[in-house]
Amino acid sequence: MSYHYSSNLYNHKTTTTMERIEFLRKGMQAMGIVAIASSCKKQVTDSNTSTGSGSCTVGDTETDGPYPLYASRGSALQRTAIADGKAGIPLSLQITIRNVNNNCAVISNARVDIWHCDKDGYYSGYSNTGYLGTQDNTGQVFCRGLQYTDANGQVSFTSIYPGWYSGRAIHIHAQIYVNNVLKLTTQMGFPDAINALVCATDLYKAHGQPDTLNGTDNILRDSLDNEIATVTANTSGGYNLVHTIYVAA
Amino acid sequence: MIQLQYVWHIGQPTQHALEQCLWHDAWTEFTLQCQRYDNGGQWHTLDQMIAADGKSHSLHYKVGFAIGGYVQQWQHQIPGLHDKTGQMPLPFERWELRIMHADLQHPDSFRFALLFDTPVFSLHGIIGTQLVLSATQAPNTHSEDIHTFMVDMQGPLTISRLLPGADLHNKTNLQPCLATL
Repeated sequence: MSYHYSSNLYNHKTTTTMERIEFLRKGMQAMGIVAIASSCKKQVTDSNTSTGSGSCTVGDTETDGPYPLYASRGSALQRTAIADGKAGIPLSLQITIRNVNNNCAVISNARVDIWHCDKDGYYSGYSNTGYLGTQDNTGQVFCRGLQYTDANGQVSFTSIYPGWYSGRAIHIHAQIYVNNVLKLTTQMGFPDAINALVCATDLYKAHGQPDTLNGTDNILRDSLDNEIATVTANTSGGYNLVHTIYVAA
Repeated sequence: MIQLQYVWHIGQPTQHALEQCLWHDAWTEFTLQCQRYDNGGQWHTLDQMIAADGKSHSLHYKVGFAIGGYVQQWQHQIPGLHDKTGQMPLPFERWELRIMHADLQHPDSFRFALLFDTPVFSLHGIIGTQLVLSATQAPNTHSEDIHTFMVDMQGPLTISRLLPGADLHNKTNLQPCLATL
């Protein structure tokens, strides 16, 4: 990903702002979304609902265009199914968030972000290089998700069992926010024995076995007691991951 | 063969409701994601965070995720950008968010750009500020009709890639030919 031409973008803005405004205004009119309330509501306000008298009449009703603002907004990551069609062995995750400052009570409404690589070791969101060469995954969001914990302090996701990339054991990243304050950035590892089984399956074997085990992983090796998740095979041919993350909130 | 890039700048004051929603969600996400890189509140600008930790570059795409819901509903059509007739939205095959300026102490100075890359088009000519394009990716042998469309190059639209065989200079020869029609 390159960031080298930002100054050109600035200059461009100063010379074309008015053109852009008019350009976008026309475009938005064509898309039928100019009537959207300024408060980012998910509904379109229709101002032409009254019956006229005299020389004025109600305007014609038209389609609200192909890009209704109210259909969906916000983060692309707030979802439970995060694989986005990526091939892999199914993985169901259940993560519980607990508060070390409150007798390990569960925390509700905590934001839990998770992300991991696909079965070949590639992340979404940016261009990265792995054993299959460079893949530009800019704009893609596979294997990324966020949820807010329920009353039991839990979030659930469905994804695929991650693959691996050179120098790292298989893992999932997680970030925990409580009241919009970042409380913890952490990772969840998988038992080495299960990693070996998964990486020997037809879907994963092209990449071979991971070159790094948990005990030699620079991130996980000093926290094996609290960062290795409980992973068990399920009856659907996939795996269940259960893990508790402790934060000070 | 050429590829176009459309750059949509968003900052305060926003120009319409959609921009305000995009700006609001992007700013909110920045305030969350940057906590990983602000060194306990020591850094308050994106430049400071990047200087201290190169991983802060990830804030560009991480903030981009926060508006991905909007982008998905655009269904690969660049919002506000049409061909000369105004009937055909221009498609994009790739997009990214790039933070132009961010300062936690001055929220209103937060600016970002959405960059949309179109598919590769065939360039058949240039008439004034208009490109004559087609979605075909084979050389025009004039053996059959090709559906073309015209795109005005004024505004925040640039040619981002010239693929082998593209010759902008010779394409301008169309101009005097068509000017006599």
